[in-house]
Amino acid sequence: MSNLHLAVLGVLAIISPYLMFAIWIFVAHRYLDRIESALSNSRMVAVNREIYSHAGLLGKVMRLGSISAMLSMKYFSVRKVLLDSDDLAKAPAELQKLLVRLWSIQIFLIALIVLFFVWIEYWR
Amino acid sequence: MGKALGIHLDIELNGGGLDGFLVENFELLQSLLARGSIGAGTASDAWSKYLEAIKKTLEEIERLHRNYLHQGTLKARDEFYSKRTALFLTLEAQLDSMAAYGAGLRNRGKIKHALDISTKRYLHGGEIKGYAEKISGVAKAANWVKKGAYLGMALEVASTELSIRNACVLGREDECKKAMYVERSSLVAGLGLGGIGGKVGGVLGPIVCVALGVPTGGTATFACAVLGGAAGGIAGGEFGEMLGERVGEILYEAVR
Repeated sequence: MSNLHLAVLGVLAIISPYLMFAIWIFVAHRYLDRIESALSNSRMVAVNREIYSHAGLLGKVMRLGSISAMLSMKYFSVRKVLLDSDDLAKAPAELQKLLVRLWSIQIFLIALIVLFFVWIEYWR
Repeated sequence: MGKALGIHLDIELNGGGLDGFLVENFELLQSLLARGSIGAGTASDAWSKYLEAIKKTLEEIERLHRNYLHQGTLKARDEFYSKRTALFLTLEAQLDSMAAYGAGLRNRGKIKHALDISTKRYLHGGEIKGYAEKISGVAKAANWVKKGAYLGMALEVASTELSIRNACVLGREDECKKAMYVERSSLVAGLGLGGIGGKVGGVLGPIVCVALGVPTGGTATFACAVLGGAAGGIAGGEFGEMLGERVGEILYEAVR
């Protein structure tokens, strides 16, 4: 791989967190109220609303991030009473799927960036 | 942070110009500015919320003094004392939390002494001396804390530009050009990964705490969000800077 290809990959790696953040902001702005009202009896949703209610747009992103993380660990969250199982049953399945995907993409992106660094630093 | 801020202001006031002081103290300045990472500011919005709550209680205490004490009736005074005790208890609980750092009212013994409130003096003078200053002090702290992340970012940008200018003044032309690629790429990656690390840490912190049985609501969960956010932000920021440096070097080699 030439230096130019590597440089393009590198630039993609360092700007991807910004793109990811922009997507979070868009989704939070559009869907946060809907998913929070569907999960209104869940303990952790109320806690997050209390912590981040005054934090503006960043707070919205954090609240949505927390719901996405909990949905990605659904059984754990229900077992630890972070999410209410009845709430989960009535929350829109499509929206749940979208949030789980978003969280997974974020974790995958971080892993990919770390791997990229390990590759250019040690293996190349 | 205070020192770094002073230096940052100094740079701003000097129009970002490179005078002898900046060149001579480059190492010290650079390390001070770089420590002002965005990690610490990740959960600062939530922190400012607590300071705002303290401010609100202080304002309520002042309003209580104004509304009841001047009436002079025995019933009004009794009501005043019971309401004030309730507000003092609220304030004490708020000041007990670690989030009250910055309010400037912690560990001052009895709350009445900390606030420097004297009923007698109020009846004579008609105002609680210095009280307005206390309220505005807390308001100012809340405002600064709210801007913590942005201040951290400004410091990072200042630190980067300082490194580049130093390389351009002291080094050869190619060193200057390389510094531009390496330092700026390190800044972009540090801020981006610091932000995303702070977000993941701030999200996972409270979840882990609540799952481990830490009581929900109040200071404990809030502290988990702050610690998780700061840890994630610092780790992501440090890693981002390393990655950015390497990418900057590759980019420089590619365009040379």
